[in-house]
Amino acid sequence: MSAQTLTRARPAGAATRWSRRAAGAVAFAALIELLSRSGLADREFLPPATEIVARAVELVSDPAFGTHALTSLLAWAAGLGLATLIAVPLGLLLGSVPVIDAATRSVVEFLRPIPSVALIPLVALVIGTGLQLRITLVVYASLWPILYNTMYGLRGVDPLAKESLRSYGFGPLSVLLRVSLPSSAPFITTGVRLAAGVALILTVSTEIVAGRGEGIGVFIFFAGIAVPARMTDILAGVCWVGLFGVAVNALLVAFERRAFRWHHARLGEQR
Amino acid sequence: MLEIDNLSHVYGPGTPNEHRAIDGLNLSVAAGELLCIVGPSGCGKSTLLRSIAGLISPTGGQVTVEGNVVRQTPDNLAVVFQDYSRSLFPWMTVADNVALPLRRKNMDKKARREAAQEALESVGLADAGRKYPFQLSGGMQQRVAIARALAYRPSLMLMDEPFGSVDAQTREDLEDLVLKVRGHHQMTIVLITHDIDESVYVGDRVVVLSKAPAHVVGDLKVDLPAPRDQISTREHPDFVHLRAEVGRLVRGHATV
Amino acid sequence: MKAAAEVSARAGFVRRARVARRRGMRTAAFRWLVLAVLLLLWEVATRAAGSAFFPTPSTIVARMHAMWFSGPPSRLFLTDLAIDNVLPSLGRMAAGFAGGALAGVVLGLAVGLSARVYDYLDGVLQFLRAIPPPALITVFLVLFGFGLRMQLAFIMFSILWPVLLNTADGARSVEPLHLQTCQVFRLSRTERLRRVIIPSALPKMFAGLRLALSLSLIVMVFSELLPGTTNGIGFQLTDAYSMFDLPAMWAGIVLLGVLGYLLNELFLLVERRVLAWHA
Repeated sequence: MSAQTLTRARPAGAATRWSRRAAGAVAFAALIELLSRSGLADREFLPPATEIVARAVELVSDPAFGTHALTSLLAWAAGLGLATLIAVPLGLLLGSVPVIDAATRSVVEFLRPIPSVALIPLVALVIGTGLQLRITLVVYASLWPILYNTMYGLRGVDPLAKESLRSYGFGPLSVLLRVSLPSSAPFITTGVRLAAGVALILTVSTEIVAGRGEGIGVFIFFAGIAVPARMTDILAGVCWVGLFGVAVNALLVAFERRAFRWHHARLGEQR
Repeated sequence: MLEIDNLSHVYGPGTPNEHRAIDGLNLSVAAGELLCIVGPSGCGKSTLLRSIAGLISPTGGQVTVEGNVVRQTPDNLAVVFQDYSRSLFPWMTVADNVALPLRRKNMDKKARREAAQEALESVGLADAGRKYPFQLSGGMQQRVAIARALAYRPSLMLMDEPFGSVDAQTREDLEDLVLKVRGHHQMTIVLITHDIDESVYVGDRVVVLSKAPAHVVGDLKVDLPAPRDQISTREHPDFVHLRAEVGRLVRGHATV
Repeated sequence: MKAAAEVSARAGFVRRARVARRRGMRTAAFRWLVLAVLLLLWEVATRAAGSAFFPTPSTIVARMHAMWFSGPPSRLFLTDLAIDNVLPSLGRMAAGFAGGALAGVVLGLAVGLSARVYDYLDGVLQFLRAIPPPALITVFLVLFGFGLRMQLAFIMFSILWPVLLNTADGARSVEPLHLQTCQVFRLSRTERLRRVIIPSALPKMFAGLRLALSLSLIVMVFSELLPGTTNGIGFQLTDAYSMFDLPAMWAGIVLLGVLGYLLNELFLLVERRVLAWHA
């Protein structure tokens, strides 16, 4: 009983945790392999993990798949980048000028809940179904998490820090740039990290719904509607998308930890 | 009541950050006694308390409560932790917090509620039952934690620096509260503190620990006239003498 | 006497809160006013532009009324179209959300209760969450074919991971002193789970559920946009797309926005009630 609480109180070291994660991943793959090879799951529906991984590796050197992947990457990155460029200044503006915030709040509150995929048909009619459609939707969907986190971060800025700078004769703009922006930077990064996931969802959704041209979603969709469906291709493609998502998330988390150590030092201990 | 026999505890034995917190500590507490344990910060006071409460298994020696060797938390033992904000459950009302431990006592809902109310009244919080902990001040929250322990009707109450996180005025009020409730409830209290004055003011007996690894370096009987009073007791010559004595013991071993 | 001072301080706090609330009401009124002005501007601008792509808001509202809300009073003014499309969409979303959320909470608690189990599954779960659900739609199509079963399974699968991971995270980060308190007062395993671990996990659980709510709206619409669907708000959108019926598309989007807003408000209402202690 007491020994149990002791192990609970003392978390395992980083090395142990990583080896456990790896073991978990291997066990997961082994489970798929077993289900498929034993015939418990229909092989048509669930190919063995080794075949999926082999196909995924093979796809890397497939130029057609390369084009699909790069097209998606472009839409994702351009959309996310544009959304950041729009949302951060907008968030700073709304977060620091209460009148503008009050005036636009209702609009924001009504625009945000619109599920972005519902805009696909309309935007497709207005601007066509090319890359511009994907980028527009990614921008729209990624805007909100970044905007909200920027505004949230601004609200938490220490008024004392602002006043001390103002007392040295700095104007409101330099207070914004020297105090408000840096201290809300960790929140902005969190917003970008959340938006990166949403952007990935929108990239793939738009590609599947519009269903033509290049893109990883197009690749997956056509593998799915083929008769018989090319399940190995689908899952190999999904593997790459998933790994990409994990990698982007991990990178941004690592960046947050590294760049904003002061922030975690301040928030870390409480909870 | 409580026997501590050659107790030792080592954290992370065999690792580079091995830390010997307690080394061969012997102590015995009689029933109904109010014992204060005082020692320099980081001397292993909390380790000692957690060993008595059965929250950790010591690496050597044993603790006996009412004749039973402690392997897990004994019956009829309650703990008041220093950090009230983290030991009270914020999602429960004050009354629910106090009544929660009574679920183990085969009491029906009505009896639990009455016992909780009674305990709250005895700490001067008769009207706070429906509030949530965050709606109370720090001192009031610690009163709730004390009420929770009282409602449980323990025969042994352990207090781990119970007044370490409140302001000076509240601290005095809470010291008097402990003296008051121990008069009403027949129980043994072991109170851990790093405050020398507090140990002498509250205790029937003060045990001084050395710096880590902790062992007993002094054991003094406190014979101050009852009832104790924040002003007159503290100016009593015996009080002044005793606190100097305890202070010398603590300091003598705090600096090498 | 100290307690009395605290009580009076509290009273001051309540008074200030009341003033703040009055000020809050004034800002709310201001916001509605601004919204009305903006709607008016939108009306004027679209009328002046006369573009087929951008119908006036009055046209959109009239279309919404005609399509969905001009039915007999006995059916709460819902039209056949509303009953055939809006209700199924909402039903699918509600069922999918309920199923996925329940599974996520239960599995999340199971995973979060043991640091070891959490460590082993963490990597796999992060991977599964990182997969954008739409990428797996074809897998669900192959497994279940078109239809309700596929849509439900797809919605549940999509929202399972954020709920699961957040719940596990919450269950894992129970305050150690709370667990020690449980141990000191010798609470049983079930009492510890019910009264301490689950309440501690609630704030993070709700964060996951809120993500899941907006995600379930998105994937619900997405599943209805696919060829082979026969009803639903998303189906009406694609239908309007193929007929080049722009007012109907705008009506669908506005309806989804309003539904999203209302669902979110409802969720916040529940959250505020459940997490009242979480100041």
